Amino acid sequence: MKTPYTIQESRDAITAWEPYIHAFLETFEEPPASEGGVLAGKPVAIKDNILTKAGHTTAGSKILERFQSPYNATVVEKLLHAGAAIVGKTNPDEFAMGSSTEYSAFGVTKNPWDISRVAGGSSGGSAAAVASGEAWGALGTDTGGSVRHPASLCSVVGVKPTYGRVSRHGLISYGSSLDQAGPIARTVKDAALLLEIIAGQDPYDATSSSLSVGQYSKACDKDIAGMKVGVPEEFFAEGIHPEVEHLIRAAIESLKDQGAIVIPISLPLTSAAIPVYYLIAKAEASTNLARYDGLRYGKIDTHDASLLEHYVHVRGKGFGPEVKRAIVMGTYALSAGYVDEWYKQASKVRTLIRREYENAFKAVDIITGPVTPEPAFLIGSKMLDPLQMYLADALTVPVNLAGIPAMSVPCGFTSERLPVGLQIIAPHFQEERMFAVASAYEKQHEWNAAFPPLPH
Amino acid sequence: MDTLAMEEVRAIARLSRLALTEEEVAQATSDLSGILGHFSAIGGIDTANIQPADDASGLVNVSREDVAHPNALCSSEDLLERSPKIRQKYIEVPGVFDESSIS
Repeated sequence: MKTPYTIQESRDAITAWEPYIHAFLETFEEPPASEGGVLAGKPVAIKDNILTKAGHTTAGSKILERFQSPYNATVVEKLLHAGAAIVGKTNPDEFAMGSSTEYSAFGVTKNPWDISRVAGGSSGGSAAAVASGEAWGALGTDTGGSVRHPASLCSVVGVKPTYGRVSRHGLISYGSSLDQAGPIARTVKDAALLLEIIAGQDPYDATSSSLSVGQYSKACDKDIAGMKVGVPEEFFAEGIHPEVEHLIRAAIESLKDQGAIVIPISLPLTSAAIPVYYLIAKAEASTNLARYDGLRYGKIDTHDASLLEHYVHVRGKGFGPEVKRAIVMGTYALSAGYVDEWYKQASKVRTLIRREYENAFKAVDIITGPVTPEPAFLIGSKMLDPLQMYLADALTVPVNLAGIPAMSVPCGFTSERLPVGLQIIAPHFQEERMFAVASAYEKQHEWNAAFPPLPH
Repeated sequence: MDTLAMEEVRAIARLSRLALTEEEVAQATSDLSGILGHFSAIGGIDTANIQPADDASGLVNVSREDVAHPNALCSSEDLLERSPKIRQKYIEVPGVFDESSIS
């Protein structure tokens, strides 16, 4: 098992691993690639909610099962320009709504470390592809933790950039004020390189920032002595798996070996983040998903007498249960008579959460803690109660609400050999700080040297 | 804060053009009542004089010249090809006012 640097190595790993993990919805015989570029043909996988001219873009949904995009997302264009070989599209939860890929219409992605367990989500396919050696790197999207969560569960590096750092043009929208595409890779430096490639202002995305792209690769070699690392007590609240807590606290302690100063802090609004996030995300999603009408994104055959019947039937059949739940919740939260108490209140609390992080960053340079309260869970174990699934995101959603960057770096394994990731959070557009700390930790521990054994 | 009733879920499904079976209505009502019950705690947070967080990017008035760039991403033919029925340059759809078998 090794990191694949060529298309052939990727192909061999895909042949070996796909029967076990189902990370890909589609692989390309002839990966679209361009000559030269800093990536020089390295195999990269793209989450299937990101538009590619090659193959299909389904967002893990039946309603887009036959959709072939006429253009590439900006992030895909940038990767091709940098010489990436795009080997396929990876399995997501449907429309990126979920934390396990169990909500994908096309089957679950299994964790390469234990195939009875989930790979995390919603970018589970992308994380599993990198963890198994099928791809050198991958793109995911993170709206409430969907890059960091599967990265943590699969022992790979996953980054959510500052909101506006990377163009959303060509991403299938879930929550427009929250979505960001982000890199998944085996090492912090590879993730930094991928971010340098995909970041930057885009005329097609009016929310993308004109701030110049940082030197993330260079930041990986920076010394972290004197850096103030904040540890929020609320990140270790009840419900955290004891082994996760143990590994995270040990990882934070070890940062002191490199001169970092660890400072306990408090973020009291942490417990409000899940309600605030889901009300906003589902409200935005209900609007974003209104466009799927069976008329413009792939040929869906219906024989309805009226347009209304057509819409209702196509959407009823094409969307899965979590997406329908999301549309109902989001529409409710925005409807007259309820919008003030649900959506507007959530949005105001979001302002308070942002301020809470701004204030915290006056006293510390970086905030750190777990990515998620428990390691990879058994497939099916959270399907009876949707709320249980939502709680997996409790420590990742505040970051999206505040618009700040965060990443997951592997920090060890539980006694059941399940990966755990350390979450490192930085202020707006301070990704360099995040990469410096992650890289310093990685150099000391090298958890990424471990590969999952092929199941038999 | 009241949580959901089945009739509200049916009304929302109609508004959002979503066919739900009676079973799905019952399940959604139960799921969402539970979830919203849990979420109602945010009602207790003091937000007097707090602005909603409408500006995710912090950017203001991002604009460009109103000049067309035909075929910048793809052609209109490319887009029309993704539709089930086209007639000349139009997408053909069932009639809006046609008789239907459901209300």
